[in-house]
This record gives sequence, C-alpha cells and structure tokens, in this order.
Amino acid sequence: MQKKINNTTLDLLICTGIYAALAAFYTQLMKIPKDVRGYPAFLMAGACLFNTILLIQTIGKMRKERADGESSGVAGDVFRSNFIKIVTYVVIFAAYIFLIPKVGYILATFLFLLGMLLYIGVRDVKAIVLLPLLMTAVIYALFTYVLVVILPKGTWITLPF
Amino acid sequence: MLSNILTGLVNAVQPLHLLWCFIGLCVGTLFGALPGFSATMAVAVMVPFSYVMEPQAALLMLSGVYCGGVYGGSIPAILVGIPGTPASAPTAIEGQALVRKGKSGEALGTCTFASAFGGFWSAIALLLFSPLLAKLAMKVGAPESVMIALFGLSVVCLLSEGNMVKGVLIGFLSLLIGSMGQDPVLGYPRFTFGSSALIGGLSNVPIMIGIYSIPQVFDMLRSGTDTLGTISDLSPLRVPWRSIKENLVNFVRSILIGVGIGIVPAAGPDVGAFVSYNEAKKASKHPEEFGNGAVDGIIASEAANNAVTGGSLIPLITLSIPGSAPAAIFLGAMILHGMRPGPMLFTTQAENIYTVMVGFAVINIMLFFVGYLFCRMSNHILRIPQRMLAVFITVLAIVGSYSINQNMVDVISMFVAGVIGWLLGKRGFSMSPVALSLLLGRMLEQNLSLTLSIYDNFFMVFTRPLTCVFAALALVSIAFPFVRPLIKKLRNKRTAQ
Repeated sequence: MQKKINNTTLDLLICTGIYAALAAFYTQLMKIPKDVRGYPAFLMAGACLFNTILLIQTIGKMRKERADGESSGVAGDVFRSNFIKIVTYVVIFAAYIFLIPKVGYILATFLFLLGMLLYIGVRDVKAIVLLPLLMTAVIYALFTYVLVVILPKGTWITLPF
Repeated sequence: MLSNILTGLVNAVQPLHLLWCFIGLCVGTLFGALPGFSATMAVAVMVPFSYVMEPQAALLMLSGVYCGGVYGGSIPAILVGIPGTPASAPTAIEGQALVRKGKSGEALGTCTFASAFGGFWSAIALLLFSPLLAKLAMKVGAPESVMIALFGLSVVCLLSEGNMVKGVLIGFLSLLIGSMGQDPVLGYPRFTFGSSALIGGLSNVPIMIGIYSIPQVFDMLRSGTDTLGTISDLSPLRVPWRSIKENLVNFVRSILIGVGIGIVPAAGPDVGAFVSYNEAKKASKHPEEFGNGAVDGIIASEAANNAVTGGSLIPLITLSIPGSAPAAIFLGAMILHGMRPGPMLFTTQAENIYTVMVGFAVINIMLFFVGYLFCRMSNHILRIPQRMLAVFITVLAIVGSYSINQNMVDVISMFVAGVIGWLLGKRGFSMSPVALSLLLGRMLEQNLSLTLSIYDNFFMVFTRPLTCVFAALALVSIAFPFVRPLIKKLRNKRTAQ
C-alpha cells in the first residue's frame, strides 16, 4: 500500500471519503422538516458539486499520468516513510482521549506523557519520570484551581484527588 | 470618543492587565519563535485559558499572544534562516545574510523595532477607523448582514487561488458542519445522528484548536528534529537608528500595506510581509542589496506583518469579518466572552472594546521590550526540544478543548478535525476557509431567514444601497481569481506587441 499510493490516488480517496460523509448527512437531511431544509440542502448540493469537479479533475490527471507513463509522485510525505509513525501518533492520541473519562485526567495524562516521551526517544530516566509528573500536576492545578474547570475523574479508576 | 479612549487607556495600563499583556506576549513570541508553531495555533491554544478571565483581561492576553506570535517567527528566521511563521519568510532572506556578515544583533534589533512600530501604528489605525466603520455599520440590517457574510465567505475564492475547487469545497463542508445543531428559525435539531450531545451543534473553538494545532503537532513529531541548534556568534543587540531614519518612507508604505491587507478578510500577515517586501525592493535605490542583507527588507517585512494584526481587527470588530486566521479565532474568543462584534459593540460594550483597542497599542510598545528580552534569550529558545513541546501542546489542546464546555464531545471533535485537517492540508486543501465558514455560517443563515421573512421578493434587497455595496464587493472577490489571469494575458499580449 505504501508504495502504490500516489497523490492522485490520495485525492481520489479524499473525494470518496467526502461523498461518504455527504451520504451520511443526506440520510439526516431527509429527517429535517421541509421548512428548514433549504439552507443545509443548498450547502450539501454545493459541496457535492465541487467534490464532483474535484473528482473529474483527479480522474483527468490520473488518465494523463497513465498516458504519459509517469506518476504524480508518491505522496511520500504522507504515506510512505512516515505512515506508521503518524498512525501510531493517531492511535496514541485516540487512546489518551478514550482513557480520560475512563481512568480520569490525572492518570490518563501521566500515562500519555510517559508513553509519548518514551516513543519520541527520550532516554533520560529523570526526565521520563519528572516531566510527566510535573506537567500533569501543573495543568491539573491550573485548570482545577485557577480556571475552575472540573477535569474528568474516571469511571474505571477514581483517584482520591 | 476621546473619553472612551481615556477610559480604555486607564483600564489597559492597570498592573494586572499589563501582566496579562506581558504573559500573552511571552507565550505568543515563544510559539512564533518555534518553527511549525504559529500565531494562529498560539491564539487557539490560549483561548480556553482565557475562558474564566474577565473579558478585558482575556482579550488583552489574546491580543498579546497574537502580536507576539507574528513577531516571534522572525527570531529563528534571522538566526537560523528558518522562519518561525510564514510571515517571517522575507525576513529570513535578509536576516540570514546579515548574520553571515556578523550583524545578527543589528538584524534582530531592526526587526524588533520595525515589528513594534508597525504594530503600534496599526493599533492607532484600529482606534481611528473602527468607530468610523462602526457608524457606517449602524445602518446594517439583515439584508446587509447577508451580503457581509457572503463577502466574507467569498474571500475563500481569493484565499484558494490556484486551488479554488478545493478551497470552495472546504468552505461548503465547513458551512455544513457549522449548520449542525438546532436551526435558528424553528429550533429543529439537524444532523445530530441520533446523539443528544450534538443537539447544540459542534463548538467552533475546539474545531479551530484542532485544525490549527494538531496538524502542526503531527509535523513536529514526525520531523525528527529536536532543536534548531545554537548561535555561537551573536553580535550585540542594537537598533541601527540611522537606517531607521533613512527608512521612514519605507515604514509608512509598509504600515499602510500591512493595515490595508489586514482589513481584507483572511489575507494574513504572510501576504502583508511578501507584498510589502516586494514593494520595498521595487522602490529601493539599491534593489541589488535585497537578498544580501538589506535592512530595508527586514523593515518592510516586519513592519507590514505586524501592521496586519491591528488591520485585521478593524473588520472583525465592526462587521464580524475576521481579517486573518488568528483574528478568526479571536472572534470566537470575543463571542465566548459575550462580546458579539458589530456596530452595537461600541455602545453596549464601549469600555471593553476601547480597552482592547488601546491595549493593542500598549501591547505593541511592550513588544519592543519583550522582543529585546527574547532576542537575548534566543539561544535558549532555539534549544527547546520541539518534539517534547509538541507532546505538551497536545495535552494543552485536549484539556483546553475539554474546558470550554466540559464535555468530551468537544475533545473528540477537536481531534477528528485535527486529523482530517492534517490529511487534507497535505493534499493542498487550505484550512483558512474553515474558521471563516464556521464563524460566518450562523450569521449568514440567521440573517438570510430574517431577510426572506421580510421580503417576499429577495431581489428587493438590492434597493438598499449598502446591500448593493457589499454584494458588489462579494462579486469582485469571487470574480477576481478568474479575471486576474485574463488581465495578465492581456498585459502580456500588449507587451508582446
């Protein structure tokens, strides 16, 4: 997959994704009373129109590339050498967001910072332990006591503070 | 007006407000100085912190972040040739050449003075022109508001020149996402996908935090570089007053360009810096010096990009049209603090708005001293491990998004918006229309509904002169990207003949 995806293929995937999102919105549009359907329906039509233009442009580019026998260049930036790295970051970030309401802000943030520092290659033991502790504590204190925001406590594990 | 300005001055120079300005400037300069992080991201990340502050302090701090963010990019631009923000790219050309000549201190001094000077005069322009424009805006009714929103949205075409299909597509999609939640007429919930959490719609600020911070965090994390290195031969900091005196015309031109470009919706500091730099080069008696360490180039670029800051707030405060991406987030923050921009702001919230406008001038005076401080510490700033900072920014973005409404839906929407924004950004989709569309969408729909209920025939709105003016402006900005190539062709033909 990493070797095959080029820029036009990626554009094609984006167009398909947008059509899928618009289809999901369309199912919801039908549930809206006719009196207030006009504005979102116009927006959907506009999005659909420009997505179609983009799709036609992309297909045109693909055909030209095939005819010329050249590629628009691998979307290397995105999908080649860094693909696994980026997916890993997305998974770690998503796991952190998932864990916040489950184990609470404090534990989730500490674990996230610890994991991320290890993943980006920090090897100093003091930094690995102290930075997550300090950062978690400072943000907790700032949001809880200064900004008066009640941060999630957690449903699986609840820390006493 | 004078009494309002004096009240604003008294409020702005209160010690606590000065402290918030200072904190905002420091945070903004730090963000700006780190390549990959931008003024927009700085304002976005700091909005949640301002939530519990009183409006004056909150907006002064965010103004400080905005000004500092635009200025900060010039420090690495000069010292290591990597612009911290796109607006500092022209500065990087001249600054690096001066560093090679052993004049790093002179380059930093000139840049700091030009930034503060440009920003200060843009604040004066903000103070003088906003009330005038607000008087005109008093005549704005629902039909004019529709045209203003359309004008603001039509700038998407200007912004996406070269990639217009992608730009307009993003504009439509953002408007569609902005229409989620209760409709403004009957209150019927739209696009909730069966979730009660979406009945109120998606909050704009978390989406903007995601779009302007997560893609940069990803890029920073995967870039693999930790620090930018150190500068061993930093010459003493000094402002070359003789050069400054010789460049007075350059200053005036650059500030006018900066303020003008700031007023044009969504054309940000980067556009201002490039246009002004090119104009300075054209007007210079020694254009050959440009690229080889011309102080004129640094002055033009820095005075203009900082002048954009004040200029971009003029249409924002008076017409709710943000003049740049950070200004769009600033608009979100104003709404969050109960200050809905528009002509009524000058009567209902006169004290608050004048404090912010006068504070903007005070902030730019402070910028000179804070900038000097940061230039002295530049070696330390360049040594900050960026990937580690990116991790901390992620935590701030997540906790900050949560803090706005204290729910996880905002965090999820921030993250999803960030990931989608990163992916689309890689394929040439401009993210600038997102903020504009999210903020202007509601204004457009509400006023369109009102207009349609007032006028049986929509075209009757064109009997109102102001509606025609804004409609014409919208048409011009839509047509401009199509007309420009034609004009170019015609010119080329003429020169060929």
